[in-house]
Amino acid sequence: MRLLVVEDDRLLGDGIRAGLAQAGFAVDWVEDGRAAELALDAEPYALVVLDLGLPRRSGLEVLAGLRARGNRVPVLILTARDTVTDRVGGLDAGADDYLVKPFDLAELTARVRALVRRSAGGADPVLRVADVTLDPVARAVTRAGRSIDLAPREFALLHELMRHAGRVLSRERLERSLYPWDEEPGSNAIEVHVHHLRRKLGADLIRTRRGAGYVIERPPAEAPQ
Amino acid sequence: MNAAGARGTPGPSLRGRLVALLLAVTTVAWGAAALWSYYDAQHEIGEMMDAQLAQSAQILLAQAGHEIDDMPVTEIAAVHKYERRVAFQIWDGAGSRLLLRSESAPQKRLSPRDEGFADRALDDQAWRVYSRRDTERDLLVQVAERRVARDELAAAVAFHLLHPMLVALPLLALLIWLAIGRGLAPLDRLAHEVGVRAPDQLAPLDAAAAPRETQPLVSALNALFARVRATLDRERRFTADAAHELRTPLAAVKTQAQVAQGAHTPAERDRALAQVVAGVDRATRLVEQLLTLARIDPQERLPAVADVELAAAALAAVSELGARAATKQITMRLDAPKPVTVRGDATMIEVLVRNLVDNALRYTQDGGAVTVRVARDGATAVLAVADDGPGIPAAERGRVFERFYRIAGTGESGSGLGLSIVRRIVELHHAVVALDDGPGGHGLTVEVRFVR
Repeated sequence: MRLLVVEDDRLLGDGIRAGLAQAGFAVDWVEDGRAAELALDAEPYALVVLDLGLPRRSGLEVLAGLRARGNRVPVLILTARDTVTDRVGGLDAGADDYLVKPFDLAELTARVRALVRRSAGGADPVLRVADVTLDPVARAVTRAGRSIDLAPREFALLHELMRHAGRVLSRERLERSLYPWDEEPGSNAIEVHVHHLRRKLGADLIRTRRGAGYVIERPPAEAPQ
Repeated sequence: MNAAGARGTPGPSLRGRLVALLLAVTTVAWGAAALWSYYDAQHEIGEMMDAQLAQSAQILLAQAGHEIDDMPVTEIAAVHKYERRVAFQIWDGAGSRLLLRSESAPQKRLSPRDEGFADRALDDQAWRVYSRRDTERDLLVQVAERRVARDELAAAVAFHLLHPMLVALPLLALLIWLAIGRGLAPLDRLAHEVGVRAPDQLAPLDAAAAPRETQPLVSALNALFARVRATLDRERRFTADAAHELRTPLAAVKTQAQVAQGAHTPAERDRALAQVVAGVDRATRLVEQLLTLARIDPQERLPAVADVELAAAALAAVSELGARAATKQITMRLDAPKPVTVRGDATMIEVLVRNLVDNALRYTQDGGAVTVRVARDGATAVLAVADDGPGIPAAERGRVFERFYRIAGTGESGSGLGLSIVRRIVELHHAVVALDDGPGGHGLTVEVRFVR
């Protein structure tokens, strides 16, 4: 899952990027409002972590522009001002959540996960498709009650496919969800990860659609999440 | 109202002073009146008693007449205690033979005069003597009275005037005390109004309601309140700004520390820990700059003025920051051929130069050049720090002196306070600071001119 971090403070931006990457997210980090707008227009982010005090274009301006263009990506704002007015202003401008600096990295990642989950319409943190479960917090996967050990990128790929179960995701779309700008995927990286997942989880889970991409089909009995 | 009056033993009581003064004035006035009465009474009593003496002499002459002609010297015994104070003698016409005298009278003549009044000292006592001669019957009558009688009478008159004062004075003191208390009530109300105020209750006192005598005090207090309020507002804003500015570096340190805790590889952990250290360094610098500004900002004038050698201060700053320049491969040049002295605070001038050089090093790219120049331009001492970094766009030059103002996109995490500190120090030294392009039209030159 790919996130955008907009933070002009170098040490903090770097820390948030590293912390969210540890939690399994693919993170892009930009340092000003203008760059944030360009990135948001170009990439399919699952969530934006937005600092309010930004050079060139303030966080609130970026947020307002985003919502005006109909982009409904979840936005979590970071603010150094903890007055009620500041927080209310951010939420009213279309933010989904806020954190006051200094914050706890664990809390940030938990809120990010909750926002992503809610935007996908699910309240249950554990994803289930047929007899496969995926717990994003514990980073645990089971099939038919049996625990499966996955590499971080394999986990991220499975997470992305299960989150959009029933939808065909192109190889390019998956690459862009899994790899931030500073990590160039190998030409057949997605194929390799899919191959590994099929070996660990069974060949029937992930289907290939020729010329379209990959999909995890939802069993007909299951109501769509 | 000095500090000693505020606590411990209070200063002298205004009320006590007023009571003492009024009582003293009243006593003196009363005393003067009594003294005047004494002299006046003495004079009137003198006239009256003289008349009495003359009358007594007449009566004595009339009475004496015929019987005493052949009498031996006779003494008349005293009947009343005051008779010791009066005396008479009757002599023959020549005044050589004493015919009759009172017991209190001496043997010799009371007065050498034959007619009229005389003041005489007999047996160490002062007497008033009246002499009268009857030429027909050839008799000389002398009637005398001790002066002390008159003095006592005059003193009694004066004393009777003083008498009620002994009763009146304590009563007067009490009344004055109460009256002054009432008179000073507006002062008490004023003190109460100031006394019950909370420390942040700094609205001006109602000058119209205060008595005229306290107007200077009320205006002074209101001026003080205004100054305290301005200071308090400034401190509050400063504290809020400082707290806000510290949140970001603290957030960075905390986040990086937690990244280190969650690191999967030693390399990842080491990198995060290095960022923690960098973050702490930055927060430390921010705190130092905040403290510097907090120290110099409220000052209204320089605490200590001395001759400060500007070139030496520049050399100190260049040496101190030489290592930083070396790590960025910045060529640093000091152009200070002659000593230049300015009047000012040595510590502040060092802070000023260090901040300017530090800024230049911070915003100049690796391999750049920074020049510090100290020169004299007529009566003006000039300190200029020039770099060939990105410079400051002309539109932003006015704003960079504001607190926490950082130019966007420099990638440098300065405190945002360096130039605020510079501006404050410049103000305190009555100097001027100007920003201009660097040498060759790029970069930045900061020039401080100390006018003599």
